Amino acid sequence: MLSPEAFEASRKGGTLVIATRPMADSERVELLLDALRRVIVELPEIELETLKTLYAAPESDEGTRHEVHDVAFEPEENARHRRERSAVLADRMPREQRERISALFVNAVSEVRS
Amino acid sequence: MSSIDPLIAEIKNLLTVGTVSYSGASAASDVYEGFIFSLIVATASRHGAAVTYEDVYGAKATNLVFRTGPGQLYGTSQPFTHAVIEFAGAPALEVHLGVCVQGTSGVLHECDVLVLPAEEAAISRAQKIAPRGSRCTLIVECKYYVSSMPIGLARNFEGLRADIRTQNELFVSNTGSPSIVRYLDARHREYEREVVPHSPQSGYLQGEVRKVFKSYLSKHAPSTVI
Repeated sequence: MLSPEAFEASRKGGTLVIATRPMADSERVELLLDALRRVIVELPEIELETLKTLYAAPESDEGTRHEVHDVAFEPEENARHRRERSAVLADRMPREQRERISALFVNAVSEVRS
Repeated sequence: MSSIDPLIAEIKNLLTVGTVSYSGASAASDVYEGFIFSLIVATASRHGAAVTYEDVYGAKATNLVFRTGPGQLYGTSQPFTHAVIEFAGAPALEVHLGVCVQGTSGVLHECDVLVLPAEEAAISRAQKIAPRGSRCTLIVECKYYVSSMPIGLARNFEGLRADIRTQNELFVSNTGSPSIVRYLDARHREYEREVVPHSPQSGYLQGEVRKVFKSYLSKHAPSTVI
């Protein structure tokens, strides 16, 4: 049973999951591992692929695309959400490191399931 | 040997060095919208368009600046940039991230990715009004979630498209949700899930975007084949 405080915190956070049965510990761990993998492996890879696409002038395309030097996100001066911060897309992690960590996540999930 | 300990060590190291830092409230969503933007402009150039980038003043740009939160297309608080897509014989299109669009009710709606005719964007900049949704070519609702997505996102999308009445709408996410699939499929809405780098779904999304360009060209430049 969800406490009123937990319910309110979830509601404010914008995510509330109602399940028909309690999750097993292994299921919780698996969900957490997947969430971590997305932040640590998937998001940097998305950044890298975005930059690879935008930086490169396409050679085999039928059309043309101007090269981009930099991609940044800036808040509006009158931003409603004060938590918004400037961010610059970057290649954050060497491929070898990303692949190594990705493999560790795969192994960890296998361990949880076994 | 357990793989948990080396994984924890790697994560500790990453956090210490600050390699992975998505601390801003909108950082993950911004990164994902940027990715979808790159797929759209890549689709355009692949199919024969000339793609350039401009800021809100019309100056050519090589450093792209996007909004961390939704704003007005005509806003000048920063030199925000957009892509300009030109297919032979057709009026130019523009691609914007995080701008407001006016629905048929007169209410403003936030669009993650917006493709619209350059003419409508120019009217927006000149008159300082939000572009009219019914004049826009494509809106893409982008959702980046590290856990399961709530059904409310699909309901919001449905409400958005009902009022905006854009010519094409796509719902795109990095993860999947069976309830959202069922909800949107029952309404014949386009939903591409698990759109991440190197996934077949990225290609499927680009296929959907190509269809939008093809439809646009059939109206404005029927002799142009893509």
